[in-house]
Amino acid sequence: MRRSEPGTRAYRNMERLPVPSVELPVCSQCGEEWLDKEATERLHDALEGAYAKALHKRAEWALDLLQKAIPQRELERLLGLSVGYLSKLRAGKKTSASLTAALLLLAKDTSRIQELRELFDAPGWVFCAKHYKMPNEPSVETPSMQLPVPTAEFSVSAIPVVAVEANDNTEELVVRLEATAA
Amino acid sequence: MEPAYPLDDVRHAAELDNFLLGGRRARDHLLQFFDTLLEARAFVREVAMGLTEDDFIQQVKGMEGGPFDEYGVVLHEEVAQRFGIVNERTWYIKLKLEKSAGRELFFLSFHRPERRLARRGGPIDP
Repeated sequence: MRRSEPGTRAYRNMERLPVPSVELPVCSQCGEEWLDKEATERLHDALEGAYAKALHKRAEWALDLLQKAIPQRELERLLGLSVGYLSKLRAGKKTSASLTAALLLLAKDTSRIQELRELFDAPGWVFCAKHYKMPNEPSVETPSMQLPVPTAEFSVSAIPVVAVEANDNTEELVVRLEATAA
Repeated sequence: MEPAYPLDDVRHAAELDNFLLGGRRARDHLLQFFDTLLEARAFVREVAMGLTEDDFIQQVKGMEGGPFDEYGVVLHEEVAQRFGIVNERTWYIKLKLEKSAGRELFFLSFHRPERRLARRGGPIDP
C-alpha cells in the first residue's frame, strides 16, 4: 500500500479537481495502482469529498457576489428553492452541480437575474417557436435572446421560419402559436 | 485455444466483488462513462458476471505477469439501459486470475475497443 500523490484530476464536470492523497494498493513489481473493493470506496469518498468542497466553494463565491444584486429570499424564489435554503447552503449543506451552475452564471453577470425573471414570466407559446422573441423585443434577434430552445412536436415547424419573421399580423400568429402550445 | 482461466472462476470472482481494477488510465477511461468509481465498479462487475465463451478472443502469453485472457463484449440491452450506456455497447477486457487465499480477479484492461475484436462468437467493431 502507498499513498497516492495529491494533485488534480478530471472528475464529473471538473477538469482539474484538486484531490487529496489516498492510500491505495500498489503492485510491488510494476508499481501500478490496483483498486479492490475497499480501495475503490476510499478513493470514491476522497473524490466525492473533494468535488463537494469544490462545488461549495464556487457556490459561496457566487452567493457573495449575488447578495449585492438581489435579496437572498428573492433569489431563492427565483430559483425555486425553499425559504432559507441558501442560508443552509452557506452553513455547509451539500449543493448540486446544477444549482452551483445557475448561481455561477447569475453571479458572473447579474443582469441575467432580470433576464431569468422575464423568461419565467414569459407566456408559454414563446418557448414553442423555433426562433422566438420576447413580447416587446425588437424583431432583430439580440445576442441575449439566442438561447437554445428545444423544438417539440407541437412546435411551429409547420409554419416556415421566413413566414414567421415576415408575418406582420401578430394577432393571427399568437392565436396559431397558442393553438399549437395547448 | 482455450482461456487460461476457467470462465466459471472468473464469473464467480466477479460475483463476489473479489476483483481489482488496475491503472489510473483505466479508471479515467471508465469515468468518462460514469459519474463515480462505485458506478464504474458495479458496471465492471456486472459485465464480468455475464461473460460467455462466445466473448472469448484469445489467450495472451509472453507478456510479463501473464498469461492473460482477452474478451470482447457486446452489452445486453438491459445492462446498457441500467447503466445509462446508450451508444458505447462494445467493450474490451483483458484479465487474469491469481491463486491466493480466494481466487482474485485482475482486470488489466477494461475499455472501449480500439479495433475490431475477433471473438469466438463472431467479430465486433468499436
